Amino acid sequence: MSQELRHIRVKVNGQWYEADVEPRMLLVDLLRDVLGFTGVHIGCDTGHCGACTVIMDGRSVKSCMVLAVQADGSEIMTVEGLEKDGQLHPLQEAFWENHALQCGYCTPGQLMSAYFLLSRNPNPSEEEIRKAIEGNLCRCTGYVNIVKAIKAAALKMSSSKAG
Amino acid sequence: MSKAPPEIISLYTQDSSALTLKWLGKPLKPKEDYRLVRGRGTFVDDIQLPRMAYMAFLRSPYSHARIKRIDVSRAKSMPGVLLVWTGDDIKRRMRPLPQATPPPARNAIDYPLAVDKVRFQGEPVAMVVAESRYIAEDAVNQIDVDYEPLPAVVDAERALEPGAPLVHEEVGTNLIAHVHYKWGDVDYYFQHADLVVEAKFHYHRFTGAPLETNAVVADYDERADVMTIYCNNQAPMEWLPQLSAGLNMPYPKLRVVTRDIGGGFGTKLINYVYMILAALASKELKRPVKYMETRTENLQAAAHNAERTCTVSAAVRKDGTVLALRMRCVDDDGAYSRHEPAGMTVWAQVSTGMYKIRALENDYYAVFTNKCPSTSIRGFSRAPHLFMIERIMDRIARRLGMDPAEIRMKNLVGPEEMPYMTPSGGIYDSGNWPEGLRRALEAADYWGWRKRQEELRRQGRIIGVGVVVGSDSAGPNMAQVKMYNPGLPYTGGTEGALVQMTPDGKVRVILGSSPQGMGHETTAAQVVADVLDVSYDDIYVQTGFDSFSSVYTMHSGTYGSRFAPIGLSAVYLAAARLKEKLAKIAAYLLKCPEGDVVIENGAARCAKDPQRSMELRRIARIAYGNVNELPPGMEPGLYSLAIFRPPFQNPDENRRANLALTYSYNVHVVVVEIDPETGMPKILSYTALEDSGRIVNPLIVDGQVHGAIAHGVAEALYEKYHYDENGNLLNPTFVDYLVPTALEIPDMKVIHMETPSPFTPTGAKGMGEGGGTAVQAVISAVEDALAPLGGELGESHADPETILRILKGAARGKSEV
Amino acid sequence: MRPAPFEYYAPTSLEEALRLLSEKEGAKLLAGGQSLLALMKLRLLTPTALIDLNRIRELRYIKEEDGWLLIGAMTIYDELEQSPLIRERYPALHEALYRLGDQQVRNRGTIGGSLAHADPSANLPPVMVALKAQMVAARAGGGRRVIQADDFFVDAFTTALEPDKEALVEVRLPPWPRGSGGAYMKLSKREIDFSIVEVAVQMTVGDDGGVKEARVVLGSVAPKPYRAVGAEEVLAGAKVDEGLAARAAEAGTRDLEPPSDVQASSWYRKEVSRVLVKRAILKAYARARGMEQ
Repeated sequence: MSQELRHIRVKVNGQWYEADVEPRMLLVDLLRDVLGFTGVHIGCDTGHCGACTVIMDGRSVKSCMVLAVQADGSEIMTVEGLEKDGQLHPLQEAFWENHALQCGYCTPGQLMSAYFLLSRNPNPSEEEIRKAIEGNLCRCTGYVNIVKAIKAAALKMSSSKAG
Repeated sequence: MSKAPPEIISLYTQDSSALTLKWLGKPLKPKEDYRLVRGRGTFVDDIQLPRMAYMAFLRSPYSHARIKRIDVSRAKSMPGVLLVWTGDDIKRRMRPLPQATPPPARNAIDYPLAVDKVRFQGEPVAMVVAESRYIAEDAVNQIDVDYEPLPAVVDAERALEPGAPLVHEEVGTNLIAHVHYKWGDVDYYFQHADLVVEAKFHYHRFTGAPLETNAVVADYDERADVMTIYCNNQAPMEWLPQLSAGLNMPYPKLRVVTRDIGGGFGTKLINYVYMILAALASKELKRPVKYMETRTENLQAAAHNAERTCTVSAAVRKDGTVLALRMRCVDDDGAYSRHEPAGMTVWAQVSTGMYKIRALENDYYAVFTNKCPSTSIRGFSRAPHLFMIERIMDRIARRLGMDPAEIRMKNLVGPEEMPYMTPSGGIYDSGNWPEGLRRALEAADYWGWRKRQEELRRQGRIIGVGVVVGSDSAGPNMAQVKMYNPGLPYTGGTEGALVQMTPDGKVRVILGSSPQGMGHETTAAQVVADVLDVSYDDIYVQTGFDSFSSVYTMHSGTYGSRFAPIGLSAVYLAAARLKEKLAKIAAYLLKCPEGDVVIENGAARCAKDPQRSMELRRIARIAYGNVNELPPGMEPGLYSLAIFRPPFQNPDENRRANLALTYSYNVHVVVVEIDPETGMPKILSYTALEDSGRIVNPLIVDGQVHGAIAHGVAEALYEKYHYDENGNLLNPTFVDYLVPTALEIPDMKVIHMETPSPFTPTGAKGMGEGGGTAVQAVISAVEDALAPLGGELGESHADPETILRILKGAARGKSEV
Repeated sequence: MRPAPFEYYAPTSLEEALRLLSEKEGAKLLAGGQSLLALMKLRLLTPTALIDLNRIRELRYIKEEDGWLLIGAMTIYDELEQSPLIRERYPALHEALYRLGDQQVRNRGTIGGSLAHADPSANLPPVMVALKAQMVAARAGGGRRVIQADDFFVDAFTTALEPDKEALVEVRLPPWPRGSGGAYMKLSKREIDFSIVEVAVQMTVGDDGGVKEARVVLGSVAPKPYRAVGAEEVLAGAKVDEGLAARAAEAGTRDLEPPSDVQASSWYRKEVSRVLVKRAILKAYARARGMEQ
């Protein structure tokens, strides 16, 4: 049942990668098993949990609901791409400071959804934050500290921009 | 029943003199979080080994069927397929899994792959190991099985009726275990009560659904003849007998490792079946074998909680004093007894809740059904016990025309009676529970809500207020299992820890636990920092568990809220002993009387002459390398190993025993509004008071409270398994098993009291499961909303349709439920 | 879970995609994939080939033409949801989009994919029927035809598109005159779920406050969007108040025989259908009168 492989190029966290993949390979498997970005997690089959959320061409998507071949030529950012020069992204800082995680399994997905939210709404209300992460299930935190952390990060990012 | 006798209190009371209270209680940023916010955790599926193969299962579409024939030939011949096994292949390779049940249930034959018969939908029937996940799944689809469907038994009460289909023919009955015990003069109190209030309740079936499913990588090293199993089991050492029996290997050859675990909530206790299968395959193929359960497999067939149907009777005085309780319960444990019926007796002492109830009669049955096997889901055992008592308290209050807060206040154990001994021998360690209730009511503006409830009702709005109290009883004494199976060699509740000061003066800590997000690295580091008074940043706690390096007992693991009371106590002991050794060396080197040595800020000094001091790292260097400087005869090195053993005992001849070390206390006040036309409930306000003893790290404690509330709200309003009469599970995916999102879980207000436990050296109590208090609170609030219309809820789950049916029935002047 | 093998094509033009569709037996068109890929992972669907439409730029647009709003089939939900034009002119559609799936789904899923999938519980089909949308179907060789939304949805997961020949390429929303307003309401246990019941209402109200035209359409209660004609009749010419809305809702849902499933029984669906229809009528009416945004 092996299939003809497709040659693809994908830019992940600023670097181009090439791979030969079966058309049915999910993007999440490419990122995790082939390219080693294991911060992208798998939590379900049906696209409900959001643990595999990455930014693809500027938009948050669930990488288990995209085929690797569909990402050919695309730019992807995973949780591993948030840090710059060893400095945590303000969202990561805020998640840490507010203990917005426990087991950490949903965290990468939460961060990417929050990243997308803040990329177009730098000053979200609590309701907008909750709406923005409705596609990311968390079983540990009751979302309380996640909402708090996203709020804190937004504040910090907008004040550092203003300053 | 009354204050515990002094000899018991002194037996349990712990010394805490090594604490400095400099590092406990601080909201230090959790150590684990730094790697996790960067996506650098190591979960089982992140482990990649050379030549790794992948396992997948064919699962039964039937809940009960005879397997007539399995044809694996097509699957076996597919390129990339390495191995295809059925139950017969497994039967040839291992003994059946040891059963913890009493006879005749002990005769049940349990293999990780079905042999001859399937007993629940989703039971693994065949397994494939292949070069990739994709090929393994392709091959699974090429296996043909002929089944002969059998009548299923899905109702626990009917399972006990004569002629019911048998889940295990070899057992001859569907009864797993039965216990019947009376504590105190139950009959007397029922005869002399002013009234008896009785109700029947159902505690429904759900699961913990951690975001990471069960997973394992088994790696057999032929040269060393060592089996390494990377897993996400919550208590791997509890299952050593199962693993050893399955693999036919002695314990020293079994290396079981956990790293980061993506949540557990009890569901990951019984994934040892996957560990055995992956390990057998690895041994056969001499290649590492990975298995990552799919979400559908996880929801359908991994681990549910045991359902409970219970008739509760309370003997009550007119003034609201609850004298005694009778409970007749039937637990639906599913098709195999892989962990249950433990929940039947575990925490049986909290059957009387937080109240001064004088006598208790428990008549409990645990039964097999053709449903997914059950285990201990968050709030295990206390939650269904406390559900029954909290629900009956509401009913009693309504019968007497009392406010639900008042009847609770009236019956709560008072601070003057602490430590308090329950009729069943439980010893509630500390707390001022009436004061906690008062504070929670005030924080929630309870009486204000009661007024608004009336006003809004006049405007046609339906508001309900729930107030319940509960206990996060924690750190179990496993001897409770003796209450249904006296022969089981498994008692007590212990944990190990190793604290080593390395030659550079840093501190390495190894725990026996296998946490799933509870912050053990953080809180253990805080306890060590506190005892040794060294910097939190200089303490390095090994992630997860490794049976080749961790200090373990067979209780080791992370379940039953045991880390704060038992695990941290071991850490404390190990650190305190290390501190003593440091002091001894310092006394010798500083020429200071040992009693005058003070260990502070990373140095040892002589109290009488502060000039005489030395940094701990110098002592460490001497202890490992410059050993001729050590006191004569002293053993070099700075290793300190401790295993904490609470003074637990076996149940006495009256089945009285303390079955948990600490009893955190919580009060939840919830306000819900019901849409009168759709029955849709909405939480307007959620307040929780928590007293879990000394708080080691408030960030972590608050996080646990939030999580427990979220699970409780989910169970009460969103998450429920639906089986049809043939044992088909109707909602086995995240499409229809409704895990709530950030839009469903309400914001919550958490307030604290902090009454240290006298029974742990740190004063901390176990917490985090919440004891199911949130379920009780939400259901209580919904019933409170419906009560003026004559509605009552019989279950621990209330969906909008159930609520609307009650509203409609009430509107027509009759109940449909 | 992982999908079974399939052939994969990623045409860059519509014509090429349509040609592949007519040539490849057992092929399916892949739009946003937010339903299709899930079904394939569960191996409930095993198409022999996928024709991926995501590289066809010409199918992704929102534009105005003669008062109509034309939407390319591969336009993602999020772009539609963010469109001020849709928010102002078709509030029912905006609400249905806002309450559709989650952000990641809205970032990937497409209007064409949803409508062609024709899930009886999906948010958009009843809205399309309420708005009197037109569906443009294309086939290889340049053939096009326009299908009214009323006729487009044939049965559960079945549309009027000719299988293996036609693809939905454009959705056309007609202009609604001044004095029009709409509303979409959905009842579900979780916000992200498909609805237990949903309703879309679109109406035009005269200066005298009388309803000139009203369309009331339910989802999740029948294999395809359900026109509550009884409600529309009660509304015709009427001035809407609470009592009238209730009467219209009663009339519009009287003949419903909704399905039962694990989330809700037929009885419950029917009960709340009435409630949602009433509420959506009141909201749409208020909007049409300019009394509520």
